[in-house]
Amino acid sequence: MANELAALSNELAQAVKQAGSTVVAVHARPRFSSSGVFWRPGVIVTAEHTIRREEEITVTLPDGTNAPATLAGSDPGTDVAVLKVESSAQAPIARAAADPIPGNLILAIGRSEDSGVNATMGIVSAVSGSWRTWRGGRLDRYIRLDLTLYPNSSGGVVVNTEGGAIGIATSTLSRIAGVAIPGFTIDRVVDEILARGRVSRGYLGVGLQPVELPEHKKGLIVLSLEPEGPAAKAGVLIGDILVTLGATNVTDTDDIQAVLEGHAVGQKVEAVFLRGGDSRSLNIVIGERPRRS
Amino acid sequence: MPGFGEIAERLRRCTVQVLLPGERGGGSGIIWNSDGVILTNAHVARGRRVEILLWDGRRFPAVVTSRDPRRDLAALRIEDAGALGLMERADLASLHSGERLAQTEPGDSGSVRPGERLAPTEPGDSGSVRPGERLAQTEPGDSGSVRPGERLAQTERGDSGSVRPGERLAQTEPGDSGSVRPGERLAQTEPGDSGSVRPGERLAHIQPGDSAGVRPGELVIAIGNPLGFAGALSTGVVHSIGALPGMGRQSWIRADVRLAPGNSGGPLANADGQVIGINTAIVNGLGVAVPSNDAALFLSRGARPSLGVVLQPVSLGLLIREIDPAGAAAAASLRAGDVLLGSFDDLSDALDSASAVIRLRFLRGDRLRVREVYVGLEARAEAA
Repeated sequence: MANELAALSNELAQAVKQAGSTVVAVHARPRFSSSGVFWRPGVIVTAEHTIRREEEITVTLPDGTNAPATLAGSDPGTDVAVLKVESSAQAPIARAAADPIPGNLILAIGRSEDSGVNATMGIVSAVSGSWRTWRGGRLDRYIRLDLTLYPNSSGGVVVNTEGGAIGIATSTLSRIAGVAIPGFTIDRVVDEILARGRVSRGYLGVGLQPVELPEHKKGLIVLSLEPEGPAAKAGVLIGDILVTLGATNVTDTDDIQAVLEGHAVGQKVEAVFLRGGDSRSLNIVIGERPRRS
Repeated sequence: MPGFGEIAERLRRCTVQVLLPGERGGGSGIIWNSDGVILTNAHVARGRRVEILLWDGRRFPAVVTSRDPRRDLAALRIEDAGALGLMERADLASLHSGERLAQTEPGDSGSVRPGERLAPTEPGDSGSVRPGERLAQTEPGDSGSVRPGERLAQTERGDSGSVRPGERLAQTEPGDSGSVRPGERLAQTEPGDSGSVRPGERLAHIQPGDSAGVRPGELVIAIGNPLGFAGALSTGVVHSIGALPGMGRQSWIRADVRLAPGNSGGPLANADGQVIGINTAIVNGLGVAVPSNDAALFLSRGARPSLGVVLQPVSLGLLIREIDPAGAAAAASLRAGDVLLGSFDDLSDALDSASAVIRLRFLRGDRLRVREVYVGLEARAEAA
């Protein structure tokens, strides 16, 4: 009794089977395992917030066997962690051919040791451009998911109905919905972690607040200063008003993050401040944001 | 080619409400075959007698012909079915399992109920939602002030056929070849059942699917009477298939569908409308269903042997919380408060080993003395 519903059902099950053959269970926290996916040969990506220990991490591979994995590095800002395993024979997941658009049917695929591959279905509820997470990282796209993420499925892969990867699922970046960390962002983070072992973020060591200036201009007033931080070393004082950084007018703290992303740690950046009505320029050597403890 | 609405409506007509006389709430049941066997959860059919409410509002008293509390399944039969002309073959083979089971399950108070088992073994991630509590909800008697069964009874009684599901379907699906009325379509799709869903004639029954072929990601449809909403439907996909921690080695279908108390005993169907599972519990928000192949096995072979005890896992083993005075454990002089040594899986394996007698080691009191008893099981799983 073939019908369209059965055809769709079959297509979904096929997508789960195909994509599920690259999905692993990740054992790196108490009680609940999480999921991860082979992103490149020997390289598994998962959600950083599900990694609670740095050693004795194991993964349950698609064939059901358990293998040790090493943590190559992680980026709390984008909630991406990168694991390496010896299993280079495992093919990585195929990417989605097209960008997701709101309304697309999607599946979140995870794995648990007991019952193997698991799936939930929903739709893409919103897609927008570059988005800064509350953890400080930047996603190249904000892809909001309308599906249920169970504890085991965080870090699992989000695929379209052809089984092509859109990204990995995380429940921690948004309070109102699951979010897919886009494939492009994962590539960027994986590249940096594999090359340097971590994702370093530029850091000035200042606390800033937007303020209105005369003639409808805006700036950022320095409210706090990290002692011995990069800005303090350059001679910045509390009360200075930052108006340009690296030749870019800055009116919002997001502008600062954008400038810092374009400059490597250790590079000099020119900052123009208003102090006592005078404009003065200082060169700040960008430091590295301290790791969260 | 049946559309979604027709598949759903056919399932809805095979789904009944199971009400316990004098008790609040109720569960769901499935009209399983043309003999009128109705399948539900053991935790729904707790007594010997229940009341069945069909989709069209007809009510019938029914008897519980067999229960397998370990699999949480029960079979029911409408008592005066023959007189009502509902089941022409009511005296046929379908009753065999019932008679056998009447022996094996003399009382209804016995048995291991899933709720107790689940509570300690799955503490749950999101602290507030513990599986045991959800399961407790799925047992209709617990739903405090809400009285689904009775409310429904009122709504169905008052209308006497003016708001029949069939007509509702016609209204809600105007684009679906309006001239064809649901009754006619049903007659077409079930040729073996001498058509028709008109009151007074034979009952529409489900088509069981092969639950061994179920894959994660398949579309599923759940129908039941959650919180008293009769014939409510929810859809989703199969989440995973496998054992539940602490619930023995038996396999369950977990589905990402929204269920609520009252769904228990109702069908979980695939995209073809074939029933692949019996919705039984909610664990961490996921619907958990007994696979249909297990249900078919239960109907063909009867209940598996059971000790007639309610168990709770404790550090030393399994504490007997309640004991059925007519059960096998009571016959071997076990008492409530004894602690069986060994895991639940071990006990399940022993019960399923097809031997008529099993040996149990247990602790009684604080004397930490291990005794052994041989428990004779009245029922045996028959060789295949």
